Amino acid sequence: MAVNSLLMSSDIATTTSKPESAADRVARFERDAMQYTSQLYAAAMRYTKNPHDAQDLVQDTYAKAFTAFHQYQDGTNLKAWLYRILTTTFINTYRKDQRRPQISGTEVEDWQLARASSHTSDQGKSAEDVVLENLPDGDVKLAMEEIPEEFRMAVYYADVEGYSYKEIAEILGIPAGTVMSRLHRGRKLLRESLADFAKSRGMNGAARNGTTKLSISSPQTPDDEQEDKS
Amino acid sequence: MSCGNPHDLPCNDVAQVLLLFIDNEINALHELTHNSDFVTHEEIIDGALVPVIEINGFVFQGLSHIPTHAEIEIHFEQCPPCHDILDRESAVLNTMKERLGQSCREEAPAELQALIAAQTQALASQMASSTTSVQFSRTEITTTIIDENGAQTTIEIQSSTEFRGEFPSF
Repeated sequence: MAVNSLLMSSDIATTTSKPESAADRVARFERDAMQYTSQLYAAAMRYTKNPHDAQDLVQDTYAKAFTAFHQYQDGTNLKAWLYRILTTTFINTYRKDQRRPQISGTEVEDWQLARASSHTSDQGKSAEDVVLENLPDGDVKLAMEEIPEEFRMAVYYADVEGYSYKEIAEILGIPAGTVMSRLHRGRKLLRESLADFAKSRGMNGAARNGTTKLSISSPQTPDDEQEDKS
Repeated sequence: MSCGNPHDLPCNDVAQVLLLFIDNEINALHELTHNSDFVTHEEIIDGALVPVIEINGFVFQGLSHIPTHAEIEIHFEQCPPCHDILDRESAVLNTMKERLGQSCREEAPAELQALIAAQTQALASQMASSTTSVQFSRTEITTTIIDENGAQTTIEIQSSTEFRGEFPSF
C-alpha cells in the first residue's frame, strides 16, 4: 500500500511538474555530466590532434549538452550521449571545410581476402606483440594520429572506450556495417602505422630474437612480402 | 583451404568473421541479418561464382550464411591452425588496446574544467532570464441563481492559464 501510494503521488508530481528550473538543471548537470570531462577531452584530442582545439571542442560540447539536457533520457548512457554531441560538434564546426575522405569498401575486401589466405603461419607469440609492448606511449599516440579520422575514431571508441559496434554506430551516426568496415580497416592501418614507428626506431622484434620477422598483419599478403625485402 | 582435418565449417568462413568473433559481436551480427541493409547475392570472382553477404557495404566473401558463435568455437577446437591465428590475433589486439589505453587517456586541464563550470553558470542565468512567465488568460464568472423557493446557489468559475517561455532549445 505504502509503495502504491508513493508511486501514485510521484506520477502526479510528474504530470503536473513545472519545467526544470535553471538551478536544478545546473545541479543535475554538474552531478551527472561533469565527471566525463577528461574522457571527452581525450576523445577530443583524437579528433583535433591538439590541446587548444580539443579544449574548445569539449567546451562547445558541454555548452550544447547543457542547453539540450532536457532531451537526455535519464537512465540511458550519458557518456555515449555526450560523445554523440562531441562527434556532431566536431563535424559541424571543425570539419566543415575539409573534404571527407572517401572510404572504399574494396579496401576492406582486400584485407579480408588477405586474412582468408593467411592460414599457414605457426608463430607463437608474435614479434609484433613484443614490439607493441615496447613502443613508447608517444609513438602510439602519433601512430593513431596518422590514420584518417573516421577510422581512428572507430578504433578509439572500440578499443579505448570498449563500446560495442551498435553503440559506436549510435555515437558516430552511421550504420553498424559501416562501423565494422571502419573499425577493421582502422585497426589494420594502426598496426601498419605502429610497425612503421617500430621500424624507424630499429625495433625489429625479429632481428633480436632471430626467429620471425616483424609481422604486420598477415604473413602472406603481397604487401608484407615487399616489406620483408626492404 | 583446409588444414587437412575435417571441418563442418570451412576455414575461409571462420577467417571472414574472425575479428567479429574476437570482438564478441557474432550475435549482434545475427541480429543485423533481419535488417533490410543485409543483402546476400553471388559474384563471379576469378571465374567462379562466389556467395557474398553485404551489410552497409561491409562484405563477407565466399560466405553463404553467418556461422553462429558456437559453430565458430567448435571450428577452433577442430582446427589448430585457425586456433593459432585466433590466439595471435587476440593477443595483438589485447596488447594494442592496452597500449592505446595507456597512451590516449589525457586528463582534462584544470582551466578547462573551470571554463565549463563558468559557461554552465552563464547559460543557466541566461536560461532563467529567458524563461518568462506570461499570463495570457484569466476568466472569472460568478453567477447567483435564486430558485422559486428563494434558495440561493452561487456558481463561481475561475480559470487562469499561464504560459511559460521555454529556455532556447538545442
